[in-house]
Amino acid sequence: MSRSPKLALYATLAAASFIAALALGRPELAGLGAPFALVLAVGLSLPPPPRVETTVRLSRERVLEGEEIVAELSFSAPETCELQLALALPRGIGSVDEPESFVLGLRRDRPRSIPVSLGCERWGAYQLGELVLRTGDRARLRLADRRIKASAVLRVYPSRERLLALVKPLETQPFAGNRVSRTKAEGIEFADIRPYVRGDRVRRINWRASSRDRVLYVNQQHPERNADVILFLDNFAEARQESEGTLDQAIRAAATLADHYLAVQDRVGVVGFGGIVKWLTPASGTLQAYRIAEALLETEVNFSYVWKRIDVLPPRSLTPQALVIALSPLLDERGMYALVDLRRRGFDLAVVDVSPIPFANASAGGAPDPQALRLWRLWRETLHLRYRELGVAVTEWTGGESLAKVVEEVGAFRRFVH
Amino acid sequence: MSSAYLRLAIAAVALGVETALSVYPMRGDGKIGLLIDCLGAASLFTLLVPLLWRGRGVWLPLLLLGAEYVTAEASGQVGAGSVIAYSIGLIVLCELLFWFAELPRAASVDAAAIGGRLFLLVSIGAAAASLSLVALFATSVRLGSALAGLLLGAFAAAALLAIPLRLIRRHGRG
Repeated sequence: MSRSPKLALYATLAAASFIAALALGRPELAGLGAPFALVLAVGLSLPPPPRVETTVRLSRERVLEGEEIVAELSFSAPETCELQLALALPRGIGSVDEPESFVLGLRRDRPRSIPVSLGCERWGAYQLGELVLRTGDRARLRLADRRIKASAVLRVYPSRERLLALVKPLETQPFAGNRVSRTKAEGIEFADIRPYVRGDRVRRINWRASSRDRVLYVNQQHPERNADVILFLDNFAEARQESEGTLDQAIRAAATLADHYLAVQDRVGVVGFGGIVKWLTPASGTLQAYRIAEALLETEVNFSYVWKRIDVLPPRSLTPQALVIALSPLLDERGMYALVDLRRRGFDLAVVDVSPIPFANASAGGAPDPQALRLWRLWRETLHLRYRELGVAVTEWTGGESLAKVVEEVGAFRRFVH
Repeated sequence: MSSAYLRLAIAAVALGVETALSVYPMRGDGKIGLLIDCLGAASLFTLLVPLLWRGRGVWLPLLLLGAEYVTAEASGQVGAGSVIAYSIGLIVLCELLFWFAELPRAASVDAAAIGGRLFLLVSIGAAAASLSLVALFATSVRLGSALAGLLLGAFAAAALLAIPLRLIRRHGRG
């Protein structure tokens, strides 16, 4: 509890008027300070600032980026009082059309609640409900400030984009899925014919080819298999401008790709390669979709000087014959070398270069030096060429573009190379 | 209601009250009259300090107003009866300035909170009027003996001392 500046001022004014009345011998001047003395006397006799009980309830606890929720703030006080409150919102959550501060009149034992519309601007796991409260006694001579810790948890998942096509993995896994394997075995898609051998089923005999050559032939099919897709997030560094950065875009792209690959029965894993290395082994199904969504929420740039190689990852996180889709701003050498290392180890690799150039253009310190920017662009183009020489599809993606276009570009390059 | 509009309204009312309080004693001629005019103008000017500086320096215009009134009253420029109106104006101005200082710049202010404050203002104004009246009436009381004067003085002193005492005791408990 703290004293209001009003208290000292009123006491001073009252004392000054009484002294003036005495000094000047004019008792009526005491009437000037008497009301101030009365406010002090009555105000200090009243009960101290009451303790306000608060609860915060969210309309939804899981939302997608860009959606809105309603937080209902409820208050009750044992005494009538005026309550000033400020809602401390984390970065990424904003109030919609309303200020984040309120002044409420509370009545004794009559709970009140106010709905606050919140906009979920950026993905992440947030603790909401941190409040700064100020109450006072009826005369506002004594004030009590309290900070209430956040109690509600809100998970904002990255927004998804609709993709019409996906980057096809070169190899499939031995599990059943929706992809037509390049190998020949039992399946639906016709692959080839071969001469009949003892043990082949009669129903697989290709009678047309057999009658032409008077030798029995049987049909061969491509089996339907699934594939392993590893989403490799390079989070050593990022380019950021206020609320948007390359990591945000990479996370959105990863969420989109994970959803689409899981929808076609593929197994999807995530590797966060940065200051702190995190991984999620490939798996399929709805549960994995939730695991990936949670893992992506925890992704952040952790500053580190440690040189990390692919060896730090457990073998299970990078399964053989998996398609690795790297989402990287190509800003940190460790991330770049890790991609080269992956390719040299024989992984089927595609790189989506989440371009940091738009963030350099919009830097707060004014426009960058055109010569420096040009040199940087040239350096990045050279880097792309080196990856392509290794057989890696690289496409630059600025956040403003559609991810579908980028996926199509990667697919076109891979069709050309393979 | 937005606190920005409310702050504007409070500032306007405070400015009106301050103008009335500072202009009222400006009646005299001569050197004292000039001093009163200067004090009034200075108090009006210094009202901008709490209005523009988040309620800091509230004491400055009030002190100047008080000095202006005491000078005018002591020099006989205003009547003793004006102390009633002046004490109401002074305390209402104080409350307005503190309300202005406490209000956040961007906040949604509840009607009940505004109602509570207005009730407080009216109550304080009414209490100020009645207490000033009592104080004014007390000045005309002629005590018959020195003992009665002593007793009354001791009672007044005790009542005055009770305020800081009560404050200290409350803080001790807190």
